[in-house]
Amino acid sequence: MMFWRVLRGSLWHQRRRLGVAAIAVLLGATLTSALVNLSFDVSGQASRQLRAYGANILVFPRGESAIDVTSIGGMVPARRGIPERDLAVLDGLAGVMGYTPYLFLVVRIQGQPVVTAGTRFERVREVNSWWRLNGYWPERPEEGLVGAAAAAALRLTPGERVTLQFGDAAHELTVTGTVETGGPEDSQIFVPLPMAQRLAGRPGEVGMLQVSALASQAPVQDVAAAIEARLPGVDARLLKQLTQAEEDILSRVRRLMALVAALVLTVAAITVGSTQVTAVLERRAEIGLMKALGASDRQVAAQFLAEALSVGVAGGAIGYAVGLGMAAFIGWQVFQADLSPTRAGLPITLAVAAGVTLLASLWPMRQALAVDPAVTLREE
Amino acid sequence: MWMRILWGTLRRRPCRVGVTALAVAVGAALATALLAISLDITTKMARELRSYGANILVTPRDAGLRVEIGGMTINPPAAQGAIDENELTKLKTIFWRHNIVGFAPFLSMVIQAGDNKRVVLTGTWFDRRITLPKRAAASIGFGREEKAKGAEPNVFRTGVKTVSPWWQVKGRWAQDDDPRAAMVGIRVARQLALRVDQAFTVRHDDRERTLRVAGLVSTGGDEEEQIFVPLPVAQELLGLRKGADKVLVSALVEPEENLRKDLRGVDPSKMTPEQYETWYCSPIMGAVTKQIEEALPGTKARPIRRIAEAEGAFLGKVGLLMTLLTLTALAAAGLAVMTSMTATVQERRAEIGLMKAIGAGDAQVAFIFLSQAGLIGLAGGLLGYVAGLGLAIFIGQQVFDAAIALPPLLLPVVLVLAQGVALAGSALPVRRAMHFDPASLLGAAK
Repeated sequence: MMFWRVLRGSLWHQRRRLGVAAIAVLLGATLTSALVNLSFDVSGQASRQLRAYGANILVFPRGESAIDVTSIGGMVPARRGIPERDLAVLDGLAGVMGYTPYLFLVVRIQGQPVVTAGTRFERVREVNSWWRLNGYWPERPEEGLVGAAAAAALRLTPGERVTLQFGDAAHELTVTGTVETGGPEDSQIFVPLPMAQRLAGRPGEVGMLQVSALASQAPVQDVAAAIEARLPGVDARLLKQLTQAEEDILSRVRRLMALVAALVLTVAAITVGSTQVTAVLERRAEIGLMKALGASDRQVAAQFLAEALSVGVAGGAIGYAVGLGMAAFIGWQVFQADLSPTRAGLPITLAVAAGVTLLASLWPMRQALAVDPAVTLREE
Repeated sequence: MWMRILWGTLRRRPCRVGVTALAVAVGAALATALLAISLDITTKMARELRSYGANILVTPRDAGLRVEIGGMTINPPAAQGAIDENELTKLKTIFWRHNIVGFAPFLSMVIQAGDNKRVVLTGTWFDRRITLPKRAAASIGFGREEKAKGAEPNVFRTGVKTVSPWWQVKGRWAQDDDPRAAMVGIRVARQLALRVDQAFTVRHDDRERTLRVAGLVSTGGDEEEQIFVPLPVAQELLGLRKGADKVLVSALVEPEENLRKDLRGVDPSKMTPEQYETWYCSPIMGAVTKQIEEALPGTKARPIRRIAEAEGAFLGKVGLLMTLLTLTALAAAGLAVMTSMTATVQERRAEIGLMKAIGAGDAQVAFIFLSQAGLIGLAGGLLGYVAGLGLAIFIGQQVFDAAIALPPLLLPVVLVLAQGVALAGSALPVRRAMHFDPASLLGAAK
């Protein structure tokens, strides 16, 4: 009873002084909470950002290429395809961010051979953010896009109609725009998937899938293996150009954030600690007085540590909330995505705040207790 | 008198002064380390992102429609071998030569191998040493690191090994000067039943050549379905003396946002001479491709947007993340140091009262306290700067295997910050204490 009354009274009378200490704890806890929450989520966010580099897994029918290059002249789509209706199994697969189906064939336009890709434009649009489009995205089944180089060579402009010929089959296409990517797409023509399937005489089949897989949750190899397990008769190939660079970059981002978090955590701990040391040091007279009035060392210690603990927990809890908000703000500013707070955030923040406050009180208190009360009292 | 008081306080309370100076030092160390890292991070990350491969494609101008499929380019006959590979050395003489990390020429064709199987064969440089003209060897900017590694100053190594670092090779890399060496994609190897060190023949028109498999290439991409040979071998098969179809260039470029505001999104041909000069001398994609086209007449240099744009976006995000983190940490550390200073001054209110009671003017008292704070700030700031430098270098080594570049302006900035925070933290309680009657301050102490 007595203990609580003294604690309450002491907290009340010292409110200004404790307030300063609590602010230091709060700031430290804010930093800790912000950094811990950010660094746990940052590699996930960075991995999402790196997906801007495009698909990192290519799926082919087993043993086939996108197109039979070896029979140039009458280039035909690969001999076997992947049935389109099977693709639904990829939708719920963990780690798969999205996929785009393609069916390639080489058609003749105005007598010139042109590589034509049948695809789903709504998916392409989502995944290939680097496509520079002049015109608008096709919406109707007769509309398509032309690569910039192909458009220049064939003198095609948006709005024009062209005839695609493949063997005996022919199809009319309305060009809605030209695409510039700096890659092979520049010399290709893009048509809706059903049109390519009709031209090639391969209804319901696709020749290749571009899959965008997140590297942060599971290794990309595992995602590729899962695709092969779910889709029978396919090869899922990792594009090492992307997967290798991605792993390297992510590990660096992770290391950077971990080191920065450790650095900030240490600084927060030292700052909180030094404030607490000052706060206890300046109350040596009080300790002397308590002892002179007959309080035992243990009573004084319990009193002071309880005070430190309340300051630590209060500052830590408020700091956690403020830091979480700060992390969310930074996450939103940088990645335009909601940050998922980590479960470890609260315990780590409270441990740093309360733990450091307690530890930092121990040393000056032990010193004060060791000195004869008379000396401590006279010193002031 | 002033010095004596100052010295006296510092000596009589070494513990308390030390703790406060430590708080300042820790804050300054944090500021130094984070500022150094966030100022250098985009440069460092840009280098790492080059492992995604080439970001510029150079092709002959007006080549007509190329059929590009399966990683091979089928050019109209006029354009075949239109780029002279001997001219490529000029890429290392352009204004941003040190930002050119690597380049490789490619010349591809369809050949027959084994029992008349049609396969794509590509001639290229694997790991070629090219001797640079004297002028290009002078090191500035990014070149410094290469020099530090003890590389010969005017020899530059480039080729597929630099431009496409993700190639996984079973066996060994082919030598550029070995006319029989070939790197074979693993899918081709499977088709033709080829193993490392096995010899095989390739035919194109009526020319025939025996090659030996040096290594098997796996990449997951189109390269697995091709055979790679040294460039002269491919030229000979095509009956050419020299030439390549395309060149891939890996260059360090900065995001467009780093460009001066009035130059962003402006057509270079419509700029004033002064604006054009600034644009030309900025390491951005537009200026670098322009300089490549100037160095290699008759070519068109285009950014590979998939790589270039993802890189710009990612660098922007990483830079912003570090900036926001640094600002947050600086604000919090500054406030924490300020509270610590406030606490130190507050506990000495009685002293202020005493000074005023024995006749010190407000200005004198403020001067004494603030100069103490300034000393603490200076000492803490210096100490923190040194510690922070160490931390920045350590983190740079750990994360990027390279030292963080330290801007010379960092020391004054950190010192001013430390001083400012220390002074601001003390000014408030000193002013408050001076408004009170000395008697009440003295009384309040006990």
